[in-house]
Amino acid sequence: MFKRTGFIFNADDCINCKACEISCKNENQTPMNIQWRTVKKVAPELYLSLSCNHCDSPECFRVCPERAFIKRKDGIVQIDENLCTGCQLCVSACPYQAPQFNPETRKVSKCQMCYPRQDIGMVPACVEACTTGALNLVDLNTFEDEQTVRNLPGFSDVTVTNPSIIFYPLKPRKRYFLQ
Amino acid sequence: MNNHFAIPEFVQELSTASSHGVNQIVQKLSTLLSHPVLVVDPLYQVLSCSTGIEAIDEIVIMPDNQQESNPHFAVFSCQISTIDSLKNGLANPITLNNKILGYLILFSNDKPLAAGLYEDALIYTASLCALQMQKSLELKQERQKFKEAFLFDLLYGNIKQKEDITEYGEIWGWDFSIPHIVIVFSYKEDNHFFTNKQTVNMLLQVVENELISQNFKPIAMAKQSQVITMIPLVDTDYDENRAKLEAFAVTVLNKAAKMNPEFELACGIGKKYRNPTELFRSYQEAKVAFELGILLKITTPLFTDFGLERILYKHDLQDLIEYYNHTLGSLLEHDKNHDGNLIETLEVLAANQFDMGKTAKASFLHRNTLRYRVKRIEEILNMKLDDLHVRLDIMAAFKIKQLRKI
Amino acid sequence: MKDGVYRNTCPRNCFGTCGILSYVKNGRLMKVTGDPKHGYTKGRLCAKGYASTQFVYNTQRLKYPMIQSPRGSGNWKRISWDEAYSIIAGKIIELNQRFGSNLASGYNKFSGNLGFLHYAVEGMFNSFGPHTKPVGNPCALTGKLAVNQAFGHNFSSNPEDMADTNLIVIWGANPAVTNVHQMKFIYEARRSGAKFIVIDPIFTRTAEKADVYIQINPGTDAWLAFGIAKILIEKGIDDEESIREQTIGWDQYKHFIHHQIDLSDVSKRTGVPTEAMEVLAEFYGNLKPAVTWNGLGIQRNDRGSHSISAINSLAAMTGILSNPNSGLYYMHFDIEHFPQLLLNHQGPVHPNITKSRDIDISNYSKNALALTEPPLKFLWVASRNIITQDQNLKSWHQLFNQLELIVTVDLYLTKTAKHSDIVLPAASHFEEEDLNVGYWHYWLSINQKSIPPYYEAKSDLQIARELTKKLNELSPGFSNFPFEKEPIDWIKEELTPEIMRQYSLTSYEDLLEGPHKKIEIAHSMPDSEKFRLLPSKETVTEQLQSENLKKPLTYRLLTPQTLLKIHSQYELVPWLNQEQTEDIIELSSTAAIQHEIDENTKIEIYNQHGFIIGTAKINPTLPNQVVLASQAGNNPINQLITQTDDKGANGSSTFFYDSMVNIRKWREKNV
Repeated sequence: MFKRTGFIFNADDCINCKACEISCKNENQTPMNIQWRTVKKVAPELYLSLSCNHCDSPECFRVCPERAFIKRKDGIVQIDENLCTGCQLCVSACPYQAPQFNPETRKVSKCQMCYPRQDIGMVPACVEACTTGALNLVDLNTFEDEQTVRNLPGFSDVTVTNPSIIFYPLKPRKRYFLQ
Repeated sequence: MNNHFAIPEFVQELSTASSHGVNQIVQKLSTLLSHPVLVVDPLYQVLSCSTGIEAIDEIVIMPDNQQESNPHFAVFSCQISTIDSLKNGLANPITLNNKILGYLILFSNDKPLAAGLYEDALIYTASLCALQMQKSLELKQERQKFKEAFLFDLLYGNIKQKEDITEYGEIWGWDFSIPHIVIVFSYKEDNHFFTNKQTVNMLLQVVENELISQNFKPIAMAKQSQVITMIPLVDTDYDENRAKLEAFAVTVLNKAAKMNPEFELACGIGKKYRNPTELFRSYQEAKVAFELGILLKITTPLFTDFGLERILYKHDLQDLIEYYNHTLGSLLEHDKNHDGNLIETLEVLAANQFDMGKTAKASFLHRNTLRYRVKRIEEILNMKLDDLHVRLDIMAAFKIKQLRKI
Repeated sequence: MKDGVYRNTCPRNCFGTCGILSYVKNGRLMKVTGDPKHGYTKGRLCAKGYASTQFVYNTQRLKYPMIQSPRGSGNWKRISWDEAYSIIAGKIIELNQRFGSNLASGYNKFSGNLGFLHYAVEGMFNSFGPHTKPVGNPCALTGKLAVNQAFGHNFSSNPEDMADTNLIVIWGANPAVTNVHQMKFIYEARRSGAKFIVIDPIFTRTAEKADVYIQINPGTDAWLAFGIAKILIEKGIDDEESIREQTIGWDQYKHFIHHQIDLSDVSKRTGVPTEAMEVLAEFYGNLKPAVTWNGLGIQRNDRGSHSISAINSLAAMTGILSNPNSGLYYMHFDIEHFPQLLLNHQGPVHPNITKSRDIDISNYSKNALALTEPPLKFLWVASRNIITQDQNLKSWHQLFNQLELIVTVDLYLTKTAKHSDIVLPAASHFEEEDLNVGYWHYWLSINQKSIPPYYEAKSDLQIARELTKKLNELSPGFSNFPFEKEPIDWIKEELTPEIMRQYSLTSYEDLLEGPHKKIEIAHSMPDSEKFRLLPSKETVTEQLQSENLKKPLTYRLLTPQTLLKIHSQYELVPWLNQEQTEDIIELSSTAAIQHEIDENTKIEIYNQHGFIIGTAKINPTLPNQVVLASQAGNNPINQLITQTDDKGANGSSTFFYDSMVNIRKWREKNV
């Protein structure tokens, strides 16, 4: 069977440095306000770096009247901007705010998991930029680790779309606050 | 001297026949031993029969229990039942690298066969079958890869031209000019991805066999925890189609559950699409139906059956919680403060379309008691339950609860 | 410029000094990546580094030299470089003629670009003979002196080695925000079982990640170090004899700890529960090798020197002297081992003035105002944004009024540039050659000119070359600056045979193939030296007494670095400013209740120097007596910061964190 490339995100290691977010802009030179990847603080001490999750059951995909989306056999969900009419159905259908509408071009674009880089054996720009190693790629068809979870607080329900992302949660820590 | 290296004639005949495939081996062995011969897969589904394929339609094979101690290595006896007879046979596993590919079975139309007499011949022939089956398995796997690539593209709408799909389909004898529907069977995943490949492959085999038995050229593939199949729908009669699909799904679920009772399995059924380029939607719908079916405890959920549920399922959680509390909050509060269970009464009432008679029966309450409770509920909620708008709100609120959103 | 990939180095005042690969096409910077050959940053950059294309191609960048009249009016007029040089050179020469020397001319330059060739500013002024110049280091001097005092020399361990330790204790540093590349070495150690401890008044991003976080009252780090030392000493030190051997003052130190430190008193002063001290003492006692990191934060108050000394002493008695894999971190000053030819350029001798006038940069404006005969009349500002970053702003405005010409060299029209007469557009690091060495890690790297300058931007070195040429045209022999030397000549001359040996270079070209690391890194101290525990007894007693008098409802203003800026740099890069953070003032829940302040309402913090309006954010983890604000922005916080008069003979860092403020709700009438 084919690969199912997904992200593996270690919330315990992420320091919210936003290198992934900006390196995505650097690599793809996306316009201002088009954020293919964003790091968000979703709870105290919990930061999530999220992009398109290249879902197994992509809602963007199901609702698109132009069938502008395709899913590659390695799992990457791509949008063909030439087919996009800017109707934004996918924007409202996606639980992860992955498709980004550009009012100037009237087209939707989104994270393409840096497939041109992956095709020549490189990791996506965001993964390369992650200095703590919190963000990585993994083949979800074969990956097994009891420590991982499919969802974290602040992340949308995974049951509809079956996103290709898996997490390591925060570990408990000892704190002594001022007396 | 040369006699020491002589190969018995029947061995030569068998090995010559083996180059033409398992069917030829079966025929040859049957001729040599003057008894009918069968080859079955590990699930005892018949792959080849010396008396012809039409004779084996209704065959069920059961190993004799007491002799089943080590089916991997020894010849064991078994019973072969057809519609009108019960026969005794001898079976020998067909193995390659310790993996069982199936069984070679010799059976008699009258008295039981003596194991000692046929053992060597069976073992030798089984080894010939093993090589042939491995070869065809490899071929099949090769073709499977190509097939899976096509099915993947079909399920994700990657092929944008209808003609391309029809042409490709013809390679495997599939007719995409008629409407199809997608059914997804999947093992349930909670916190982790399901990675037990063998179980999923067994499920695939069950689905394929079931389709074959219904005279379909099976369109099916395994994908992580799922087995996805596309079923052609020739009939235009909705109810008949529906009944057939549900029966099919139930059969598969039951068979698979018998094989792997430790894993929970469920299914989902998408919508029918005439244009194969739209089939990806049926796949996505089937998966949504799968999830909703689990939550609402429906065995054979059809996407088309869900309306409000679908909208609620996808809706913003915070908004739903507010809606739920706005609709039922005062009743919940009352129950909490008075240790009551009026909410349950209301839920049963809603589930019975607000029919007092049915509700009384379902909740084992006297009609008067129920009437009194409904009055209390109306007071607490400050609403009239005969108002259709109120009913809609209440039904929706309970749906939210059922969908595990609360 | 040919299409291709070039090597650059981020020259910011930062621990990273990252190696950058620049992808250039048709003379344009298309994107950047980290340099995988850099052993510290390992092919990664920070968010700011990844925003380089926008930093370079930004419509707000200065394109041409401009003059405004009158100063501060915003009435800017484009002028040619030649006009700019003529005006500037004319003023310098005129002041020279008026006062008989160049003492009326001075500059203020700090850490905007730490490349070797940016010492061209110093070199240029040196080339005129005696002038007025800043000395010192507002950022790190106090800590530097304390480390020097203890070890006899500057010293900071090799950061990559942190991965191989069993205990990491960070006092007052926040690498998750200010030194992101260090985190991977910390995590590596943790994955092999190390404990990671953070001590900080603020529950920082780094603190969030620590195995144990200990919150401490600001400025009381020395007490905590004493407390831990006390627990360890009472339990008995295994190798006490060797510690006595390797140190000066062990018995005195032990006596002091034994007799004058009381754990419940320490707990009261620091706010740290005894249990936490026990935990930390147990770690320090049992986990070897251990590393201790003196953050810059602990020396931003007037007790910083004592704090660092006390922490160093604790590190000394817990293995730094005996265990070769232990470490002590602060920052190093290896750049001082280079010739620094531009910095040290010798100017012409003045007949009766022997040397330049030095001004302590930590108190520049006050000191400059005090100068007479001649007063300071011309100021050159480079690599610096005074208005948002320096303290004592009131005296700065007085100084500005006295100045006859202010020239600012910058990439952007900063607040300081807006207060200048002339602004000169500076080249970005992609548009100039340079050489860079870290102050945290030990890597030396080159900075190639990878793209042509943005419009008419020029490097500090190029400006120095052209301005000194103009000066000599107008007044032959005025400057002895070697303007004919190309950037590459200066770079090559920094690489002396000894430096080449230290960094295993055979020629300058080696750096084009990748950064080089220093081969021998001083581990702790030379064998001949002994570690000096704590300063003299007198200073210890002084430390004990110098407790701030706490006035009710006054708050200590802490203004640490934020993630997406360095001081005011990068504040005009839109990618990095999508969330509004600049006017947020964080206060504790207790303070919010006391002042009846709600989340997201406008509040004012004020003291005798001024006031700042901001949006209140209630931070339940903040100590009650602390207010947190970020630097720069439209309403720079440094308006509230003033340097108290210097006590140390050798100067000190600026004690930014000694600023006290009051809080009140914002009302229109207060404005």
